[in-house]
Amino acid sequence: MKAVCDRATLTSGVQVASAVVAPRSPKPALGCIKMVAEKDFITLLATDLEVGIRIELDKMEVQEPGLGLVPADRFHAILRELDEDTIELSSTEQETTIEAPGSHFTILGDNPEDFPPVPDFPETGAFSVAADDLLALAERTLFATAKENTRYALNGVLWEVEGKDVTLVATDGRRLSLAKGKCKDGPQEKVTAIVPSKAMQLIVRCLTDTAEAKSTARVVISEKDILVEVPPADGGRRVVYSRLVDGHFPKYEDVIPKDLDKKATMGTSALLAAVRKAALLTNEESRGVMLKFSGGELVITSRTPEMGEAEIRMPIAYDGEDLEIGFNPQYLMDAAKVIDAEELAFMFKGPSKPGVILEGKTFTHVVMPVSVV
Amino acid sequence: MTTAAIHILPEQLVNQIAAGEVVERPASVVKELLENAIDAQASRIVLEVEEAGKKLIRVSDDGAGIPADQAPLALASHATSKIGSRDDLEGITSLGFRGEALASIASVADVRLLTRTADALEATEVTVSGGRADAPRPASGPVGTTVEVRNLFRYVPVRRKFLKTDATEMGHITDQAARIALAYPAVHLTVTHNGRSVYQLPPSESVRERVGAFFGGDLAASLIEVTSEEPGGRLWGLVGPPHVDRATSVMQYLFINGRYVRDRGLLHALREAYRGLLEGRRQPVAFLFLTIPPERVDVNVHPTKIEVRLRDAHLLYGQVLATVRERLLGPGLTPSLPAPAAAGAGEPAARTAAEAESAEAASDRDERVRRAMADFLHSPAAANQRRLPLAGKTALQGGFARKADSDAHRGAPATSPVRVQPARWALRPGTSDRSRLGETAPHGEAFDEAAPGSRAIQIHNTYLVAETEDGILIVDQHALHERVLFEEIMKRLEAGPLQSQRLLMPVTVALSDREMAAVEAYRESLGRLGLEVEPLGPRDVGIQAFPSLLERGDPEGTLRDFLAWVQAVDSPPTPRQVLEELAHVAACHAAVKAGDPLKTEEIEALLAHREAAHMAATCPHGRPTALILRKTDLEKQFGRDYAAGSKAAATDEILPY
Repeated sequence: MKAVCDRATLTSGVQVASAVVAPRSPKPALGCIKMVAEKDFITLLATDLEVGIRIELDKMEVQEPGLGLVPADRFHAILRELDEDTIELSSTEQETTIEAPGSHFTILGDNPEDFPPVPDFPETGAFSVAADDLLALAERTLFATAKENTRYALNGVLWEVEGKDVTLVATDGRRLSLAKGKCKDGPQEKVTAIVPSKAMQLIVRCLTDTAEAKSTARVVISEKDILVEVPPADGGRRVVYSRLVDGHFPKYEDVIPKDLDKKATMGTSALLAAVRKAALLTNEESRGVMLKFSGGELVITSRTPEMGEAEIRMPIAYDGEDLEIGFNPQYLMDAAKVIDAEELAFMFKGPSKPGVILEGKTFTHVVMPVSVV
Repeated sequence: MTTAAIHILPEQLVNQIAAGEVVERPASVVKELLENAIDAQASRIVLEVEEAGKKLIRVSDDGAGIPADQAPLALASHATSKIGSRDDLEGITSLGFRGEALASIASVADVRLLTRTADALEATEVTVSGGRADAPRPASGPVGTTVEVRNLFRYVPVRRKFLKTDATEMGHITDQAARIALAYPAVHLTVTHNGRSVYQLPPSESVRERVGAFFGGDLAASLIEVTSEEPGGRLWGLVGPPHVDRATSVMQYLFINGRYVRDRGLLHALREAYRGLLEGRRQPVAFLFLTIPPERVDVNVHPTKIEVRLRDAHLLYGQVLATVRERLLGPGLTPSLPAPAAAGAGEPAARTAAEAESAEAASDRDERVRRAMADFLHSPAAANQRRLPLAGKTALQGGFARKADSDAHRGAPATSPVRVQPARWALRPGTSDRSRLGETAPHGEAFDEAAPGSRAIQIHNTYLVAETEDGILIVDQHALHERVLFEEIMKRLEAGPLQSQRLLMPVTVALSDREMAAVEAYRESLGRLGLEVEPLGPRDVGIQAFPSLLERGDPEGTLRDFLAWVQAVDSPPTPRQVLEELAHVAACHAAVKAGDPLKTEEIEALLAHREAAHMAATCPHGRPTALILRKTDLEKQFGRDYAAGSKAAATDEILPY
């Protein structure tokens, strides 16, 4: 293959693709990005066999269609160092050459035939969601996934799509995030899937690049895998492929308490700021902050024996009885950060019972308390 | 049936009965004779043994000797030169004093005493056979005393039957010799068995050398010196690092004023000093020497004086515990990697000599090696940790040696611009949790000035390798992280129950009946750790809450391992043991595992903890967390030590012969 490429477009595409590449795979080909040049665009492909991505790059002047397989880390490093507007790219079976005024690189690669196939978005079976809606759903759940967990099912985000309703749920066993949204075009039948965190991160990344375009993302979920097509933005069409997590997601309905009898409403950014301040005097040995709801005031306190104490006050709307309840401040901040509305509702029942942070009917976050001693 | 009349026992029978207490086996004779030789100020002692002492025990010394007229008395009961009055008993400075030993021995064996004082013209010989002493007669012999004990227990055949095999009895004899040899390293001691030399110990200043002679050079080299001076007494000793442990307490040697004793209290203090550092019932290795005013210790408690009574037992207990514990928890206690000895070297004596020499080694040489080390850790091959498992070996050998050589050619500058100290792992307040390790990456000043790259690398996703002041530190990442978490949990537990994070869904764990009972029995301890466990059914429990300190911990694994331990222990554990075990299992499950790739910041944070925590060099299971490959050993391996200290070495290195 041979092409003259817009360097910025190519670099941003390679950067996203590099995130998929398996860092230390025994198969050298999996450490590479595959390039497919045809007509006037180049497709970048990368996979770690669990998750894969296709990135179509336009603004490319393809002189000879063909294939190339180039080690992702070196390729990315070289592109970042160059500052010319355009570069010349040519590949053979063994090597890729990058030409810019004054610079010449030849990177040894592998045979493109060795690269495993990365599925493309199918012609049929897709449902569609507005790109910015899908981004919000993903961002509101992804943070609550388990960072690492022996219970594999938790290390992913549950998707439930029925009719026009899309629900995404994630939990790490200490908190649970549930976000609801609407499809533009719903699927034929109800679909349920657990999408691994890595794929969700990739989806968020691709959507972030295009979300302002008021475009529509398309999704196909089959028994074993999911494909999300993010519509063309600057860099062109992107398709994220992922295998699904094979496991059972906990029954999240049972976890969301129905009997909460106390409710406070408060400013989202005010809560975020107050918790952040109180958290300054916590550490991982005593992570908890104490929330005291009384009358029109919320008092957040923290105390760490060898460090010190903090007390932060903020006005809230609350007329229930006085109540003190401890939480991990990070959990509260994580939830407040993804709420767009100016006000949120905080519902609870008692000191050792879960608390629930709500934004209307679209976002529900259950958070378990800590015993603050 | 007639009743026997009461009568006074004949003297020999009295002595035979007394011998029952003092002379238990050949080794007891050896002990008494060696102690006499020491009390006689001998500088040279020869112990000859035949048939493990059953046939012959002969101890010859070059001590003061006994004047001819007193020689017969030496073998009589309650005859001694060591004390004279009641007051002397209050401040015993000699090993013996009771005046019983020789008489007891003479009552159960044939004894020949040959002695001569420095100003006597000839020696005196006294023999005792069957309890009857012959008249002393002049004989020829050197200054000093020789005591021959033949046919031990000839007159008490019952006792003879109870003797064990020669190997066992000789083992006891060797142990007695070791006790004397360790306490009096300045005394030349020779031991032979059936005419063969067993030990040939020239006078030495070093207890470590003597330990090496009896217990092996590796053990001796591993020991750590402890010392403290308090009003109650002076403590000096060599103790084993926690990984050099034993199944029993036989390797615990405690000497008070040069006397080997078994004092339960002080040995307990020693064991306490290792609390949390040794696995299960493992016992430490220690050679402790206490010097206290003679009047503060009553040795007249037990015929063999193996037990003593201490006036300030609690003070000494505290001194032993604090001195050893502080040393063990102090910085720099890291087992040294035993590099294969270079040809011709490797004896304990050589090792200590090398250590002594290294202190004096020319500083420019130290600087050169330091620079080479710093450069190695900066080199691209080292920085690229992903590739290191493949390229590491050549990078180490090639990169290090080449760099050092080129520095040598250039002539090393007097001061090195890169002087790396362990403290470079910037101390940052507690970031223990695995996820946090990465989040709080160091920004900064501490790193920028001299070390733009990583100071440490990870190899095989299991070990962290870092430069230290005098070598290379290799850390087991899991063991270290586990240790860090364990220390934090224990520190926290002292203040009160751990903060506990409630779980959204209880973690259900199926248990046996015994395990269910154990959960019930230890519910309070579990609660203190922050582990809230409720029964969900006859054989199911749910973990409702877990310590928030261990955000990434594994509740089920922690509970299961704890219950397994509860069922494995023989006797009911103390509450503290329970909490420690809980902290162990919880830390183990929450710590990074071998095989987990770590980010550079995580590596640095973990190593920073090691320095900040001043922790012991073992994980809670007693495994070492770190090894040091000493610079001196590296030099040995690369053949850089043969002319250490000489500037000529730099050029010689190119053509080494």
